[in-house]
Order: sequence, then structure tokens, then C-alpha cells
Amino acid sequence: MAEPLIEISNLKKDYPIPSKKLMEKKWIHAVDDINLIVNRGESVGIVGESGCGKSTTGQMIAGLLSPTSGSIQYHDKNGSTMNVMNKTKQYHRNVQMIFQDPYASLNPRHRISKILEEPLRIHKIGNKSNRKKKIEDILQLVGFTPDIANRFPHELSGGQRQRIGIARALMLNPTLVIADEPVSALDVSVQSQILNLMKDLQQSFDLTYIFISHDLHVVHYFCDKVAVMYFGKIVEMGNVDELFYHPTHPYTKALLSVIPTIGKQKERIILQGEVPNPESPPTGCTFHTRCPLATDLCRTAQPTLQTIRENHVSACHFAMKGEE
Amino acid sequence: MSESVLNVNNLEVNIKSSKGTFPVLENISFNINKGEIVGLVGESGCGKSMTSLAIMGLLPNQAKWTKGEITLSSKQLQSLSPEEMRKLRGNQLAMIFQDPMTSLNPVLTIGYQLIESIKLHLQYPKAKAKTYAIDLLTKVGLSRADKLIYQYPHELSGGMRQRVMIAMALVCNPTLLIADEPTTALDVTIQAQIIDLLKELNKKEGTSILFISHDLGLVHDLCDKVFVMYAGEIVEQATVQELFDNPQHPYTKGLIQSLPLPEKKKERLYSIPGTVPGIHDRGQNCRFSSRCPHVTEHCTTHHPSQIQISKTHVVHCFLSEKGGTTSG
Repeated sequence: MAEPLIEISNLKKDYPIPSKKLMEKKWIHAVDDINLIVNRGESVGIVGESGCGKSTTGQMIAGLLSPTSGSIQYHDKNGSTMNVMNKTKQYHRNVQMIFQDPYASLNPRHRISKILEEPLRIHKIGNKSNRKKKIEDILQLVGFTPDIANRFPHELSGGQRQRIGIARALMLNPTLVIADEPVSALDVSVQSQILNLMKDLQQSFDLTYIFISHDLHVVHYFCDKVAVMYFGKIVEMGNVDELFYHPTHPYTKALLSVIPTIGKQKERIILQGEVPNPESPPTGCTFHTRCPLATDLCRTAQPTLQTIRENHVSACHFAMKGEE
Repeated sequence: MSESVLNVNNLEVNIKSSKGTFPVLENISFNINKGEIVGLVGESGCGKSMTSLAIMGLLPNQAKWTKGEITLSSKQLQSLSPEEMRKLRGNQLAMIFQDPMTSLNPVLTIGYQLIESIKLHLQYPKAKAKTYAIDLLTKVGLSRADKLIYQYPHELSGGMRQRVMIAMALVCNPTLLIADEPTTALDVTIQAQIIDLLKELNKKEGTSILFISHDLGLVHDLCDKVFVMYAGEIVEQATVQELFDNPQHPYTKGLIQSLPLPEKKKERLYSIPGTVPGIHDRGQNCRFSSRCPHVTEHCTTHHPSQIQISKTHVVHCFLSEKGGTTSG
């Protein structure tokens, strides 16, 4: 039943860092060995703190960054497979992106019509009148009247701009949309508008979403599956309700305990310190420097992802123990 | 009876634009008692930050304080000269800003910036100021404070910078600390650390805090009292319990309903239609009438006055006037 759309295996991205010695090369592992399968029609959330590699992962899937090693495969409906490494136009037609900052992601000197026409022009789709028709249709879909096409981005509010960003991503009828913190810059009232719109569009266009966010409430509301990243690795992954109601990794538990909520007070786990310096990563489990449960085993041996239950994996030596 | 630290009475601030002079803040009245943490919430553009700038005496040039009084521990702020106001800032009044990246000077060390304000306000000699700076940094939970004072802001992470900002605000043990979205730029785990620090300060030192935020969850966690602002006015004020258990104003209800909570997973989220009216199109009506689901003829022509729900709960809405609570 679940039909894989994107298959990510052993994905890695290293960045060089300046070194004091002349011939020595040092690297930081921004994304370190990620495996993830995104099924058709699903919304997959990627959460984590800043610097954990969630945006880098998203950009690699969108083809904006090339991975150091590993592969990202796209399975077409008719059974053929594309690899992102080949960077074909066909791939980009199917995979589009929505960015975080609606103020920075639209060209201030272009009218809305030109911004929306650009993807069609690049992919040489339609003639002038077809394109105009298509732009009007999409604008209507995201809740605008066609006359907005002649405006400039500065004339629109943050929420309106984000809807233009969504419209642009939809111009090519993609199958996968990668949304990198699409609502973080917006007020709550506007945030709910955008989330509703994205859900509606998912139904009418049969879209698959990869939803990158640090807001766990939004991810829980929006996604079916969620991957928690820490320090370049996926530390826990599973069905969203399963993972949020029965977290096993201490990092996920801590993250969940500190989201401010309205309602009953719960016990909060406040993590000490910050994400370690990537230039000198800790040995063993990368989380042991902040983990309240850390033992000697954690300082030496790196845990791998283990299956806890169906649709739920966790990379902690004590993940199973917490279950008992 | 607890002692009042800040009292704002009928504050009005006008802003000059090419189209004329328009009020950005109107009829702002509230009171903060000693040791209280008060939240100020609302959408962007509703005047939250303008209110805090008015209290700090840092209004931009185009804005003018036209009416009302602000009293800080029995001192009338509008009668103070710029010189006296400057002495007050950083002394009794302190502020933490949203973005710790831009509010520290990048070319000066942490120690220099911290010691500068200690010398200015407390007239400590150099050596004593340095020890005091190290004490403050330790107090806000920074380790290696003796090394930290020689470091530059870019060498610190966002959470550490925000702690430095808090340390700087604490130099003179202020009676009122204004925190303008202090955790918006930070990760949730770091946010929790900072919120804990603010709670601890409040408990130990009895500092009153005016906490400006658009995150309702955070306000619920931290504050004792909440003011909801809309289009330059306070539309509802209540204790945290009252506000979240029994919100009265349709705007407050809308804000609470639009939060994406796990229980609502299968439903569509509520969203308040439209946007906050700009300062040019605010007339003598209820400001929220253009977006309100319960709007009546009366709302579009009259401005609602204050209605007391309980001793601590005040709302500006005609719906509550009739006594009947509205289903939202």
C-alpha cells in the first residue's frame, strides 16, 4: 500500500573547515549517514535544533546541494527511478521547495506574475497565454484574485507572500514539496491559514510533503511521520502519534517536555549546555554530553537505530529499557 | 496589598506619516505589581513593542507621546528630562531585546560592554567592576566567566549571548525588566533554559517582568497576568488562569483556537480572517469588527468600553456587555 517516493540511503554531507596546518584537511559532518523513506502522499516532518542538519538534508533532497556520499532516489509513478545526483530538469519539475523567510525568498524587483512565470519559462512550458492562464488558476487556488499578479512583493503582508511562495512551488505540478520552516516567520493566526492551505493543496494535488521545522506542535499537527535529528544524525523516527506519545530517546523526551503548552503542567527536562562543537564531535553517542541518562557505555559506543515497535526506531542504548 | 511598580494610565502615542498624524497607541492603562510577571501578547503590528519603547523613553522620532502618564515606583516618567531618563534606564528599568545577535556591539568584548554599564551606573573602580561583571555572568548560568569577559559576541552562541544581555540588564538590580520576545530567535531547549533563568530571577530578586511575546504557550508557562493587545489597544486583561479558561474577547478566543494542538489533528485549524487594520484605517468603531465572527451593527459604529468580568478580568467587547457569554 505504501509506495515509496523518495529513498534516501547513507546520505552524508561534509563541509571543509579551515585548518591551521597547511596540508591538513578537516571536515565537519553536517549530515551523517541518514536513511529515510518518504512514501507517496505522506507528510514527513524533520525536527531538531538549529545546526542539526535538517535544512541541509532538505536542500540536498531538493537538489540545491550535492551530497558528499550516499544516494537520493526518486521513484516515478510509472516505475522509473531518478537519481538526484544527475540533476535533471525532470527531477526538479517534480521536487519543489518552499522557503522560511517570505521576505527574502521573493525577488523584490519582479512583479508577482514574473515570479510565478519563472518556473514555467525555465522548463519551457506553454506559450504566453497558457502561462497567464496557469498563473491565474494557481493564484485563485491559494486564495488571491488575479489582479494581484501586477503587484510587487513589498505590497504584500508576510502571510500573503508565503502564499505566493507556495503558489510558485506549485506552478510545475510537483509531486514532492519540501517546506523549510514555512510558518516560523508568521503570526499564529496567519500560521493556521497557511497550514490549512497546505493541507487542502495536499488533497487536491496529491502532494507529498517534507516538512522541516523546529516547532513540535506544528509538526505534530501537520505530519504523519517524523524524524528527530541531532548533530547530523536521525536519533528517533516513527509515526507521529507513536513518537510524540511514547518517545524513547532522551533527546526527543527533552524536546517534547519543554514545548510551552496551554493546559496542565508537566515535568520538564531541561537539557544542560548546548549542541557540541562540530569541529570536535564527542565520542560514542553524540548526545551523551547533555543526556541525563549517560553512562560509560554511551561515552564509548555509538548507538544505532533499533526497532522499538512497528514504525518506530530509536538510536539509544536504553531505548528498550524505557519501555519496560 | 502589593506595591505597584509600574502604572500606565491612559497612554496615547501618535505617529507622524506622510498622510498625517495617527494614533498607534490609545487608552493604554495597566498596572504591574512588585514581583509580578506580566505577559503582553498580540499579532505583529499591534503595538506591543511601541508600548515597551514608550515605557523606556525610547520612542522613535516620528512617534510622540501625546497623552497619559507612566509612573515607575512613584516617579512620573513624562516629567523627567532626557538626562534623568537616561539615568533611570539601566538602573531601575532594563530591557532585553529579541535579537541577541544585533544588540551587542560586535567589535567590543563582552567584558568591556558589561563593565561600561557597571562603571556608569554604580561608579565602581575598575577592579571591582570586573569582579562584579564575572559574578553577574556566573549568576546567569555562564561557566568560565573569567575567560568569557575577554571574548567577542561572535564567539558565543545565541543562547549565551541572550544570557549576557540578561546579565547586562541585571547590573543595577532593576525594579522592572522588559523582555521583548527574548526567546524568539532561540531553539526550544535553549528557550527553556532562558525562561527558567527569568523565573529564578523573579523569585530570588523579586524583579517584575514585562514579557512581550506572541507565543501563547510560553506566556501561559511563565506569566501571572496577561494583556492582549490589538491594533494599538489593550482589548483584554486577566490573570493567566482566567484568560485561558474563560477568554472573553473574540480576538483572544481566535488566537487560542488557531494554535495547532495535537488534539486538533484531524480538524481544520481556526484562522482569524483578514489582517490587523493599519494605523490609517482605524475609526471610531471596535477595531476588531472587520475580522470578528460575532460582529453586529453596533460594533461597526461604536467603540466598546471597558467591562469588568471579575476583579482581575477586564474586556473591551460589546458581546460581554449583554452578560451572555458567547460560544466561540
